[in-house]
Amino acid sequence: MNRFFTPFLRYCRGSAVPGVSGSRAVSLTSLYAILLGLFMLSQSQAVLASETTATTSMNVEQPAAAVAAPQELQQFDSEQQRQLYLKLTAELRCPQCQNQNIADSNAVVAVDMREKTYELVQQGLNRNDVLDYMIDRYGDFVHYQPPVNRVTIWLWLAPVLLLISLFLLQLKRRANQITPKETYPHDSATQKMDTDRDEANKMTESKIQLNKELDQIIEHYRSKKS
Amino acid sequence: MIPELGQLALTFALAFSIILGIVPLLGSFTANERALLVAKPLASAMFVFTLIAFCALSWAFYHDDFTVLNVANNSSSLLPWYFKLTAVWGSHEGSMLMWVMILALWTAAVGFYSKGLPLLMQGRILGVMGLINIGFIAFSLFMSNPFERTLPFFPVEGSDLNPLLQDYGMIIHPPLLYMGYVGFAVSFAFAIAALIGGKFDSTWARWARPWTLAAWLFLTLGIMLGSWWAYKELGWGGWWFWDPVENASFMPWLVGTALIHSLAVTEKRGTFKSWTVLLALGAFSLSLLGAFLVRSGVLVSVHSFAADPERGVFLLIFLLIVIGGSLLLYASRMHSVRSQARYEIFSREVMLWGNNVFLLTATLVVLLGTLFPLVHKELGLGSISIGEPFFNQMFYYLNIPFALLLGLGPWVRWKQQKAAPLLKPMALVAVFSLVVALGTMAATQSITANLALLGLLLGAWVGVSALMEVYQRLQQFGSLSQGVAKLQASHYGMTIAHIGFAVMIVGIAMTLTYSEERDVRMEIGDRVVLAGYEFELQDVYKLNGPNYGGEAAELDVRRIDGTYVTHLHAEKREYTIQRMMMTEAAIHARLSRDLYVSLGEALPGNAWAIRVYVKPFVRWIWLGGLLMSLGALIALLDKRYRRKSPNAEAAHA
Amino acid sequence: MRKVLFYVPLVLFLGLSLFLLSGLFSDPRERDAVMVGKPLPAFSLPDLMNPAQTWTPDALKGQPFLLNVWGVWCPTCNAELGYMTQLRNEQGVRIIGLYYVLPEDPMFGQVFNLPVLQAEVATKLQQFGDPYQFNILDQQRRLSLDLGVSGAPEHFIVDAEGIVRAHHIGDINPQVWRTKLAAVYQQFAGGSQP
Repeated sequence: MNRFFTPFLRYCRGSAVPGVSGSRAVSLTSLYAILLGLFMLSQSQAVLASETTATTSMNVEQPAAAVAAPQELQQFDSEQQRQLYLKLTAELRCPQCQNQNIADSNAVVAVDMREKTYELVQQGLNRNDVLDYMIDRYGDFVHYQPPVNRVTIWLWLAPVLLLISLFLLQLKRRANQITPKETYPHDSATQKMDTDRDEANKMTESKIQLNKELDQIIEHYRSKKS
Repeated sequence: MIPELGQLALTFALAFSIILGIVPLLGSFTANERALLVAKPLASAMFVFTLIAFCALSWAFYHDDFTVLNVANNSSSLLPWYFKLTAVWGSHEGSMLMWVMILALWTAAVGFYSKGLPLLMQGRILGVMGLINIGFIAFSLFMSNPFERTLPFFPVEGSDLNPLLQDYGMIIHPPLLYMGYVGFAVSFAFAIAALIGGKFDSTWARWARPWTLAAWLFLTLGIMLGSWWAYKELGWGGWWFWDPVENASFMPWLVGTALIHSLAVTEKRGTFKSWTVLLALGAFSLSLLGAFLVRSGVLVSVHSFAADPERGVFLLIFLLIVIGGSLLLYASRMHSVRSQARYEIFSREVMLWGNNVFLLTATLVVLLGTLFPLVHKELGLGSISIGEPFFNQMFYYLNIPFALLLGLGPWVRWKQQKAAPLLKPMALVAVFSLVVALGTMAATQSITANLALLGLLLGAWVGVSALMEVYQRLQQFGSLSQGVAKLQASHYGMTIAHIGFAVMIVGIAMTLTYSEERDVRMEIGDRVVLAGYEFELQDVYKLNGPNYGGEAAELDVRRIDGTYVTHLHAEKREYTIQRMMMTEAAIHARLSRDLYVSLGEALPGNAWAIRVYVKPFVRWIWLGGLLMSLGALIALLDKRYRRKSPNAEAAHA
Repeated sequence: MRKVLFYVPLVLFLGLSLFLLSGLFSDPRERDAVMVGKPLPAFSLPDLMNPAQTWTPDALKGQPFLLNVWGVWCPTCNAELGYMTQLRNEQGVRIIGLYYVLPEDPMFGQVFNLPVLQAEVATKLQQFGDPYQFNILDQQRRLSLDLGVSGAPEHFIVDAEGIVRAHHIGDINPQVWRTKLAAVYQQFAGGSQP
């Protein structure tokens, strides 16, 4: 019983489907699927039966005037202003809370800032004007997008540099692998892995095997010479 | 009495971890077989004793033993029994004990399932796990003792569990998350053992793979449940806020994902060795960093525990020893290891390298976004905040090449791939995904929205490509039915996980684009129309819960054509002991959209502020996460991981 | 060269941990005092105890003062009244209150009622000490928003010309006054009263 996952194996014996390894495996998977289903159901009835007309849910135009609509807490002259207001309240940080934007917080200062934002948007100020207004009073802290300066520029530069340097590293590695100094691995483990690979790859496999043997011969010859 | 027993058990566990951290490791250098053999029973004993400690604390919570400080601060006799039990991990001290218990559980599991490992390797791995255990048990015992008493003056009633945590999501979310975090300790220990031994062959990678997959599976589920819990419990319909605590769990996940892919290369091709080891160290290091960020108070977060610089200093020293030590070992050992495998520029190796590059860049983005405000402030440059706008912008640009690469990757062969044979299938995939994406846009009559279209295109590209790749592979086995049985479980797992990713990006793009919300003042009988649904407020009445009061609202939802959709019940609770307001949102979930209503404050004139949301495809985000973890589970069942390793055979020959 | 590359992760981590260490001993919620150096924003607000009297920035000029944002609903504010009274009596610090009114919650039947509020304030000031020259009533919290106030208590030092010279979030205790505010106040008080 010298196996890595002995208990699992015990369940998997006599498996008809070697790929998915055994009835126990299948039942584990289906148990998982059931849990998955239960999760989806947890809030209401059957979910997977998606609604017959999903179309309207994304229809943006709406006959709001058709029904006696209740008063909106914030009434806007245009849809753009509403979107701007929603965007701003999501981007502005409540200065008193742990870590919440002013849209989601009910702290007094968040409510006041929401009202102010609404007022400013109603006055026709654009996004930057409103942000400047708040930053003038509460500092950069109040906006979830940091200002760009000599230091913060690294927020954008560092990831780009990492991306580039990691790709360069790979190019360099590949450039190195052609140098004849190196040999192809021939420890038993790798070879065993090699035989393990997808049958579909056999053609290229044998070709590369040939290359590998050639390399070994060349390497052998060189080491004798030096 | 029972809490003292728990503390005693924890002390014993500390003793076992110290022996485990010393004896087998020393034995591995002196080739002392008996010292190595002692590792497994020690690991089991350590687990049993941490479990006893955990049960003792649970007992104290269950029986409302307010003479225990932790119970008094985080529970009350009014709590239902199941929340009394989950309150065990509702505080810093209790959750630390759970962390310790889970770490010991993984340690014992490695001992139990590692019969295929050579004794030397097993001893080293368990030894390293023992060393990590020492740190955490000591932290729990000396810096945040969950069994501390309030005697002689104990309160007659506890100050209750944080109302945010009184939810079913909390019952399983933290245990799963911790299983994931701590699970990476196993990959870490495997890497350290390999660094000590200096052997990094494919066998090593094959041993480490199932453990990494298992940890990743739990972490994926944990993060996903956390997101779902925030969505339904915080009352503002958000599913991810880029909060430092969320980021702390996202970073190890990203590195863990990279590690899974890099391990595949190391196992199959014997290359990327130093890279894989670095990722294995990185995944757990970031878990530790996350624990530090959450528990030290260096960052402001909605979810963090109370700040205490003393604990922070302890954890930081621990971090320096574990992460600094392992990186030093890495630097001194790894530079001499060279992989010699050959591969061409267009090969599976390079594709997976690309995957790693993007995942690592994403990790750096999250790390910078989380810690840069701290750095900025400590440099004396003032306070800044980094949140959604920054992360969304960066992830938008990172996701495009990543998804394109992901669609192509599984088609590409190891070592070398000629471009010509792939042209036809990839063109087919491209056409199909265009049809699917544009078809969906047309069917939903939606306005042209760049983000939604892009999300659909990328999702379809990844999803269609994954399905077609499996189909093509199955055909190569001769007949389709033969192929279904022959294809490895790990290949199915990969395909499902990739489809999960596709589902998730579609969900994110659609939700971000088409979500709508209205903040309205409603009197009883009022109706509000949003996105084709009409919400009618029918009744609002007073609530009487066991430990809360408040108000509840009843709403009916109809389509605009009048067909009845559902009834919704939203609550606004006021928890009496903690004097905290909580919204219990009403949610009606369908695969195509969620209806989400939260009840706000009462307004003058017998009216209420009510927030109504319609969130298309939001459920796809979590469905995607579930599919990813399902993929990991199926891959775990691959029989390859349960076969005798060549080394073990040699050792027993 | 190759060898050096392998030390990069270690160096990066050590650098990061330096910041983590210093971060442990500073408050992550501290904000920048952006109002410093700016004149008081325009306002015209009534006196809390005598609403007929209206205060504007010009009416406050002439002498530096400590502007204290507070409310009776805030325990920390009440607790610091004693020390501030001491500052007024012993050091002659001119302290003006900016009364921060909490929004009323109709769910609990709360309505804004000035006489009731005045009575509450008088009781508190009698109980803990009265450091104020007078109090400005900011019922809509508009001035507070313009000053970048996020809650109570907060403090501003304003010079004789009406320019904000310091902004302190949180309470004033002997240590805070000595280390952070006293020097600023003395600098501007010394200038105007030689």
